[in-house]
Amino acid sequence: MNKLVGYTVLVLGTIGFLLIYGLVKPGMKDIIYEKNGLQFENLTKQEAINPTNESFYFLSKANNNLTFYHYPGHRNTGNKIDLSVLNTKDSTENLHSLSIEAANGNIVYTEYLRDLDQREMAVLLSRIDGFQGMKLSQYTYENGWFGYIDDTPIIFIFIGFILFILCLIINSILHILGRRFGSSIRWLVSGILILGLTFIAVKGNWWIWFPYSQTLNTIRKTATIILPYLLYMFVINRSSDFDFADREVLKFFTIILGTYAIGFIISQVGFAYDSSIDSNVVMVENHGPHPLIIGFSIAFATGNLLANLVIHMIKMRGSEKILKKTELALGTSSANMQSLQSTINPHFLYNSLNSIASTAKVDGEKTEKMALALSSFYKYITNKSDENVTTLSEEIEMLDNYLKIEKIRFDEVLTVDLDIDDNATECILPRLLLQPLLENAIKYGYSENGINVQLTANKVEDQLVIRIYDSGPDFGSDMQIGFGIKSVTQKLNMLYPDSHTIEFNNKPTKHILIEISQNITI
Amino acid sequence: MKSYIVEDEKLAGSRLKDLIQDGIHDLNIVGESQTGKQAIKEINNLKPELLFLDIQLLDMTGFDVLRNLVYQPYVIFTTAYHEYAIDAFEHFAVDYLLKPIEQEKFNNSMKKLLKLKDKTSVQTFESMNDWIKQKAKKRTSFSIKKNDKITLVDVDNVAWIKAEDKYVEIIEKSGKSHLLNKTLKQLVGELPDSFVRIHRSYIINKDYVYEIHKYFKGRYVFKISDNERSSITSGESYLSEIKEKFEL
Repeated sequence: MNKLVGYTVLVLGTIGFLLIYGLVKPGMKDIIYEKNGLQFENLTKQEAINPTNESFYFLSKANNNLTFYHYPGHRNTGNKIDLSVLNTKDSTENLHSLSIEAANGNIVYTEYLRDLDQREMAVLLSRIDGFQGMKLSQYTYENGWFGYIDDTPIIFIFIGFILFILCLIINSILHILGRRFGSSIRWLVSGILILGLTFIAVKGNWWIWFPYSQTLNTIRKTATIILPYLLYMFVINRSSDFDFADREVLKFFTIILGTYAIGFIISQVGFAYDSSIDSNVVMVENHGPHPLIIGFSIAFATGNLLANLVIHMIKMRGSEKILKKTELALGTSSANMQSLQSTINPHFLYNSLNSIASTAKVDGEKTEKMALALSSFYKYITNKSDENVTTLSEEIEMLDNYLKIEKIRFDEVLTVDLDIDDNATECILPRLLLQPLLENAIKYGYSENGINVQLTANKVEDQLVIRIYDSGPDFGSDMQIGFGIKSVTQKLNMLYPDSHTIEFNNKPTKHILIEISQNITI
Repeated sequence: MKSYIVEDEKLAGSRLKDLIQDGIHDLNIVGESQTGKQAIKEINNLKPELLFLDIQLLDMTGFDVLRNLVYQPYVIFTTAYHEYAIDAFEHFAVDYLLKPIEQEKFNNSMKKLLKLKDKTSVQTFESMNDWIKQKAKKRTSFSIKKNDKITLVDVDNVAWIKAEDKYVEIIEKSGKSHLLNKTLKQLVGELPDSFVRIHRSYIINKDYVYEIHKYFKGRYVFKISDNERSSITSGESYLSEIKEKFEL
């Protein structure tokens, strides 16, 4: 829940920031290229590269004044006409209107800069009698995402709302289609939508361009639209790390920041490329994507986020909560412990009984010894089975019984050496910890020289340190635990969750190392 | 009939000899060994007709012995207790004796053998071995190697597994995690049935799931009772497997 509140604050904060930022930040104009001290604005590529074409005019930004030049070109008259210059004297005029003065001082044409069709204007102007030039009112950069401070929030909200409705419709249709035809249809439709949007962007000439690098121009438009979506789809959408809220919020930021970042990077590359071809081309200001694209991506991201939230809420309304509880999850550890203790590998029991049956006929004394040892061993297992821990000396006593049986079974093949330090005898350890370890060592301890097993125990500071060596081949790199070792690790994990070590070492010689803290009271 | 005994315990061998004697079977024990290595050498040399063969020998398995024989004897397996082997004997109708071996069972086995006089083919032994290996292949633990130390993580303590680039990350219920140089694909076949793959990058242990929520597009959110109370969303394409495994 806290996460959700965090996300809400984050998203609303971002939208608010972008709105305010969009209002106060100078709106970015189309790219301005500078050539021979003059700046060309809103010209086609051809015009910018070759300003001697037909009737022609352009703007100068020298001395912070913008001057409109009219240049008919040589084909018109066969002579190159000097530029007629009319400097702006009065800077108090309307910010975004253009008025043209005839030589007699009459204003003959007024047009809003926004809708200025320069080519038509040039044709019109060339027809004016005694035309000397024209005056462009001082052009300062307008504020706001869409170039005009007064309409930004309205347009933003309006587009955002339309996109929200659109996303709602499209996402619902996609959801229904996806349920019916599988997820591939959703990918198909999303893909077509994005490709369509890209096509419009590439075809449209309202977006910034680079005069010399048409390829970059196309790449730029395509990438700015497609990459943020691909980034979202292939990175975020494909990972299970994110739940619904994560995913939507990340999508929101990926689209907005991705659009800006990619637009910015490619603009820089485009400028660098263009100016490497023509040294007169300089970057007048740092360009990102067209403000319209940024505005659009914010509106889309917000609309999509809201639409998905609505769909999510509708869907989750009827969702059932399936509860499942497992005993393990509830941690019935003491019950587990008891069942663990009383289970001793049946393999051992049956083998021992088989051996007893075998000795019965030939060696009564051996049979007696073995039967008694087996019964003491099982007595130990069953009698105090409600106690989880014991002292090392008690455990060793039990081991003696166990080893008696194993020694009879394996005869001279098996040698076992128990080396218990006096300071360790009163140490506490889980009951029946060592028997499975020895059984394991005997099982895997065979070499040409027989089965040699050694157990050492001593107390180092507050740790009981036990090592079990055997003479068999090294532990494999992908060894598996069997019945015995499993019970050992389970006991240690239950009783000493954070205060034990169990390691399987091949160096210096093969051994299992167990350390049990003596500071814990069980 | 020339017979040979392969038993890792001398006593188990003498138990067999007693049984043969007491049952008055016409078997001539030509040799006996406790290790596979010695057995292979002697059997190939002596060529007994019948083998009593323990499944688990000190240095190898009974199957390894059979694989190294230059001819085909009758085989009667002996074992004390072996989870998979007994199933395999039944499945492939191969003769076996369970320890402690009773006289009556032993006599029946001998009768059957003499009546049938039909050797189990080498192929049967091999497919039986494969069958056991397949069963035993189920992973019981992960060995995590650090320097020369190997730490074992019991699969029952593993709550979920996550694919991490070229590794998999194993997350224990305690929250401890380990990196393993394997892929999820490799692990899928090896893990016990309690592990379910719910996503291209996730396998979870059913035993640690405490809640399942329905999610969109045929997906579910699984709440795992590890230390972090992780929640993991399933992938769409794993829907049918999830439904089956969780009985949803």
